[in-house]
Amino acid sequence: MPTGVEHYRQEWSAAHASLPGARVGWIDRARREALDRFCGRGFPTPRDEDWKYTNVRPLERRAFRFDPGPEGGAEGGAEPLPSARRLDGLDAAAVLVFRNGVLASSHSGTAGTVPDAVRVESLAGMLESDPERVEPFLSGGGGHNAFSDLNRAFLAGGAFVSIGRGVQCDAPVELVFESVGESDVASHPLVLVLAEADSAATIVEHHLGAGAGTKLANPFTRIAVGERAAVEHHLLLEEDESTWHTGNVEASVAAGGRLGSNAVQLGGRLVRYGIDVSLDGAGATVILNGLYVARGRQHVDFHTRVDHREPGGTSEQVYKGLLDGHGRGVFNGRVLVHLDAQHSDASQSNHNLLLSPDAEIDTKPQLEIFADDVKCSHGATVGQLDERAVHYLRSRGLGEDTARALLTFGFADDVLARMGLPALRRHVERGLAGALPALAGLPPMDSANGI
Amino acid sequence: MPSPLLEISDLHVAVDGDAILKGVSLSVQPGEVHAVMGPNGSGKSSLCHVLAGGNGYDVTRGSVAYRGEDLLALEPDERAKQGIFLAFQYPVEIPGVNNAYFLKAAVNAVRRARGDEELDAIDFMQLMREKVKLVDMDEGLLRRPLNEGFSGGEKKRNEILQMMLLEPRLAILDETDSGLDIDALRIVADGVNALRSPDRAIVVVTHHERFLEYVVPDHVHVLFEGRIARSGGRTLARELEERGYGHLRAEAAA
Repeated sequence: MPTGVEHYRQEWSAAHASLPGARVGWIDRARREALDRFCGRGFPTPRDEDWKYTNVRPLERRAFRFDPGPEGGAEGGAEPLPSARRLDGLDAAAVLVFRNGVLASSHSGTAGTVPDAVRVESLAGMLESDPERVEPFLSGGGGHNAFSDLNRAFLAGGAFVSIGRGVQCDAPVELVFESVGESDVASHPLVLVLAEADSAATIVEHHLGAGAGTKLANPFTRIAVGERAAVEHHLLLEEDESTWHTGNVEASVAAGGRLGSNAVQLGGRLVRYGIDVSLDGAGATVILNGLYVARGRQHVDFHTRVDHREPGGTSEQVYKGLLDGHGRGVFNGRVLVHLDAQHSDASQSNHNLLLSPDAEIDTKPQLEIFADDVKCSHGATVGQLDERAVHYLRSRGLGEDTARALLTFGFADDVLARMGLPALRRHVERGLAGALPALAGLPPMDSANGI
Repeated sequence: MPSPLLEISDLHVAVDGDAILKGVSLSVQPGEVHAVMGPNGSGKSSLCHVLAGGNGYDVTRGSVAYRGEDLLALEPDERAKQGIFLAFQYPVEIPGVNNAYFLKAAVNAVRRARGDEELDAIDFMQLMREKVKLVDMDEGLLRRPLNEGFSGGEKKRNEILQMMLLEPRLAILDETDSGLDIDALRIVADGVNALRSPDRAIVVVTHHERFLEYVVPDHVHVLFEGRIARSGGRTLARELEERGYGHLRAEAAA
């Protein structure tokens, strides 16, 4: 059986004619062009500057199968993952659950509180029934790297979320992507979020995996924030230890719009996540928060890119990393302030805590500024806990292990608090306490009182 | 005479190889309030930090006994559990650690060590609210990360709040009065006075005689160039206020 690029070309040839919207000209074209780009440049290698620290050669050598199957079907016989792994207390307006990229209708639904002008539905259905609606967002773009091309080439479904002009959807929309079952299964779901002018919505994208089979989760999220609209996008990656995750977010923010991008990664064998945001209108605001954790032999790589294209935009990035065991982290934050983007305010910080002598982090800020009247700052640190803080806590009677656990927890909780979604914060706090030996000495917390 | 709570004998301390304390001796009985005064750089803060177990202070000679035991052999958290509390001159800002969560953890660590039952969230909140009123602190600060973004005065109140919650046997205040306005000064002083009892002792390090009008000391010591140059009663503080430390320099040179 061939591997690498040739394998995917064969898979595509066998599958493309039966994919949703195959008879729609632009959809077929977008898939073909993406496949050609992917085959033309192949998998990235460490010789590519953007992939210097993240080697996907082992992934290339495997032949991941793409088998979307029918929506709402037998779901490959897989049992749904235990609900305990889901976010507790989210009170979602609507939930869509995908299993290996395919919508599992029996586990999806709305709470009945969704305003009329909010649509949360299957993207596969949209590709068949209303392709014109999604064409402006999916016919071009997406060509950030080999994996976003692969996603587009195999575009078969995912979620479509739209919020009508002026509509405030207070409760979050929850999208769950489960990677389950046998080895060498690939999924390439796509999430399309359209927030029209003056609307507001919160989207929670939760990726979780289970099982020993090696899997490839390769999602792509496209977010379009309209004028003065506000979107909070929460991404929670809790893949299992045999899943490779190569997702990408591409977002555009119109004049006066605001995007909050909150990414938390706790699991996965290798995670390479790209976040690409473009401030397309004057006075747009983008707040990016991220927390990543690598332990055991995990590898996690966050690449962000923020383009200030119009005047008066604000972008603020805070990414934090906890590296334990032989964990390896990479952070690359690129900010481009284009010639027309005067009075932009861009800040970026990346702080990393090394919890073991064998853990590693490579962090690289990249500021490229072409306008002359802007405010830009960046800062990156790699280190251990502040010994003055350790002493201060110990001087109040806390044992050394407890003091260190509290500070490590605080390091992470600081950025979780910025994300502003209590259900997610509590979930991740519990996840961290269970995952990191460094947090074993944490004093008991009464979550009802927050103490 | 009862046995001293704290007995410092001929204490020599170096920081990065530089001698800072050059033979300090001081005996503190239960129930007493001692004030330590002295010019900048005389070693006052170093003395406080050595007692609390701070990093980087090398004891090169001498001893410190606390309730008859070798204090210097104890880890900082052990000292706190045995009733020593230092109000920091510069409390550390700790992002991400909720103030109330920290306070509850500290109180329960100390209660556990004393053999008292730990407080649950509800009992603790009640106790904390009561003490917060006494230091006239904004309750919102309890829900904020520990000391982060607190003003100078808020940090000092938070130190006094911790002291009241932990109920130490020996409280050491390292220039807690500096940078406070007159109202805040009185509140901090009230907090300290509320702690006074026959089985507790307080060591107040200060630059200002005014604070000692509120917290009236039994003994006043002047630390000068790493040694206690003078000891006396309440009147010594007034004398220093009037004459300054200049004459001590002259005496030392003589």
